[in-house]
Amino acid sequence: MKKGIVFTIDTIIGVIITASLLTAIMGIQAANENDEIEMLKLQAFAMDALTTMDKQKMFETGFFQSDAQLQQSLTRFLNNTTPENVNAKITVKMYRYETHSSCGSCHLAGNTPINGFCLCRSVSSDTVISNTVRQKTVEKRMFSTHSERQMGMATIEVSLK
Amino acid sequence: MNNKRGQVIIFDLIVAIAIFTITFLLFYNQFFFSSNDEAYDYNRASEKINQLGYFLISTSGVPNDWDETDVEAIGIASEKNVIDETKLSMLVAMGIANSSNMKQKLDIQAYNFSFSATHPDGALVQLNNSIYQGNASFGTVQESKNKIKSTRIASYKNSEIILKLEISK
Repeated sequence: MKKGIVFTIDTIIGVIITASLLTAIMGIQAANENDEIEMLKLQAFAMDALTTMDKQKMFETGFFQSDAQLQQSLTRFLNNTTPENVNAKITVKMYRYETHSSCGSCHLAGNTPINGFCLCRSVSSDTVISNTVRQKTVEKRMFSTHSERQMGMATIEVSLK
Repeated sequence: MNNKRGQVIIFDLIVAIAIFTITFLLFYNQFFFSSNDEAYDYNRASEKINQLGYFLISTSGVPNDWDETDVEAIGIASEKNVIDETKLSMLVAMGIANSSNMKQKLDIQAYNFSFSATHPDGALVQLNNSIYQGNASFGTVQESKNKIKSTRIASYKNSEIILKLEISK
């Protein structure tokens, strides 16, 4: 009887499949780490944008501006600061504390106060929104004027194009 | 009929296991050690520059009225995301005149570092005071795959500016 070494094709295929799987798994792992870094950058941009606008009293001044004026300043800020690979949308909502049961002229969210507050205004601005959104983060910031009856909420949504 | 039981270890199975083991070890070594070292360095540098950006624009440094002689931690903000002109000037002056001391205070001795403050149109912020006169930028970082950039937004003289920090090994 003669002895021989047999390399079966299924052995080779098995090795190739295993090697491919290992490569794929490691590739996914590396991509996830990059995604985490990108997400941190997005969050930093969102927080910086809200804080800087607040420090420039953009939101507070907005109480005394028309919707068009406020939108113009929001758009200018986003155009000046948003990186090319990022979509950004900011929405500023202004509320009034209402002791009555009706919201009167501040009825954007209905005629009945919600937890005592009525939505008076909602102004938003965005950069060009791309349909292919890879990652997204949302940050919020509350602000007020010296008036006890007014408060606002700025929300920024940012995503990678 | 005489039934004998036996165990057959096929030779090609042994060869397959050997090839698999060698391949696995090669991949393991390549990706989990050398590649992960690079990834670890990259992640560590990313973390470092993100922290650095945060501290620069969020704190006024230690001590609060620091200068080059007594600074323990560098911060250039008068309040969060509001840049103080004097501290920005001191940072730039220090970065140009004594970059090793500045890197030590920023805990980035192992890296090349560059910093710039620009207006939204891309023009560098101009400083003109008793501490420093000139562009608000210093340092150079060569283009490479290891270069890591952090961009922060802050308010300076009531206008938004963009701070760019770059590091590489």
